[in-house]
Amino acid sequence: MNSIQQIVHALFLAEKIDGFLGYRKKDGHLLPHLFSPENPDELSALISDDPIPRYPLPKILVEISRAYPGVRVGLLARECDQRALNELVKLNQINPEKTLILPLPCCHSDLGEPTQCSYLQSPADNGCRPPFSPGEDGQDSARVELDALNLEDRLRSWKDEFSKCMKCYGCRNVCPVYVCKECSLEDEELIPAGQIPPDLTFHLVRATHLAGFCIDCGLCEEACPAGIPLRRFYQGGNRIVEKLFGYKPGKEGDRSPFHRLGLVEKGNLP
Amino acid sequence: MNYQVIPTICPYCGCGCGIALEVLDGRLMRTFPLKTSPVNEGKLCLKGYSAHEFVTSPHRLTHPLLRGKEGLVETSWEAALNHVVSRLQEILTQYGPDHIGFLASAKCTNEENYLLQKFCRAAVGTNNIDHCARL
Repeated sequence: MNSIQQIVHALFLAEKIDGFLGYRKKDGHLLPHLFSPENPDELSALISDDPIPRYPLPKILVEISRAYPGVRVGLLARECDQRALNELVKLNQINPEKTLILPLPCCHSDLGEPTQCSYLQSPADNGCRPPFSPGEDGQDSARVELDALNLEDRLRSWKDEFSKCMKCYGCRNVCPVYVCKECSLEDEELIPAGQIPPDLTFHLVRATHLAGFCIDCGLCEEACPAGIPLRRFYQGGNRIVEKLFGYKPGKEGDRSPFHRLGLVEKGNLP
Repeated sequence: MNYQVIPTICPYCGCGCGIALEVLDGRLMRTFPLKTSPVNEGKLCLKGYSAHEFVTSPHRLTHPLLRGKEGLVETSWEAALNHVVSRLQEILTQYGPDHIGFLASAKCTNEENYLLQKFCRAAVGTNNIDHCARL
């Protein structure tokens, strides 16, 4: 057993957790798997060091905790997963006291130092793309290019991108902070059925709902069959929230300014 | 607490995207695109994302239906197949093989579709075969 397997085994023995969400190989595919204390031998299949494709484990945790309130689950969490977990705690979707995180080295983020990450290895190794193509200064070069455009050209650039949208809802479906019971994107009057590509409303609804919530994991962009740079798009909303409120989603404790009810009514918006 | 992720193939079209079905205590919950599938590389269309929804749909057919004077009526497989055989033979004798066509399905296996085209070409004697997934 490797060290992670040993840690989980010890947690099972000490009855600290009722299950552990990690990855194992199944029919040749590396997939999320819930390891159980009843079947500790299975832990030898737990994989934690190979390049692992990213699945939204925090989202799976939400489903499991909804079905089994109070269940104590441990999980392998990359930095992006940890940011998602922090947001899900703020949204009352998971109980931090019942969640045990075993960190997995992960990709670059504005909130942490760049660490070793399967996501940033060459695409040939794991089929993933890096979150952006860094220029000489390490900045997202496409972002810098986009910011240099005037508003009209920038709008045209986004409209071009969104004209490729086939409305698969993949961006929403894989989003780790999408836990809503009802979704405006399924509102017939707002988003008419059969209209492809959808008009800008579709993307603006997602952008406004994600501003101050998006944890910048880029799973949406990875899932987009049309190759729309969604990560960069939602970063725009977060940049506005950060500028107005000094708030960055994904951090522990720090609550979104949108949670402070009454702010808008009192006319306190800057 | 039994949570499983089952890798399989999307049943909808001939593309064959890899999907991962999430099953909690025997209940299908969600479909994710399979990131390690060389076909779709972690992407899916809208139909693929809802691939788990039809499985327990109350609208699914559970018996063969035979169209008669009173519309579609439930019948047994024996009666339905007998009807198909006798009508195919009648049309074949009266009008010839090119008056018959076959529609295969993306929900069948490759082998089942192979058998259908063999039946169509070799047994009936026509090239009138197509499938539902001509997208």
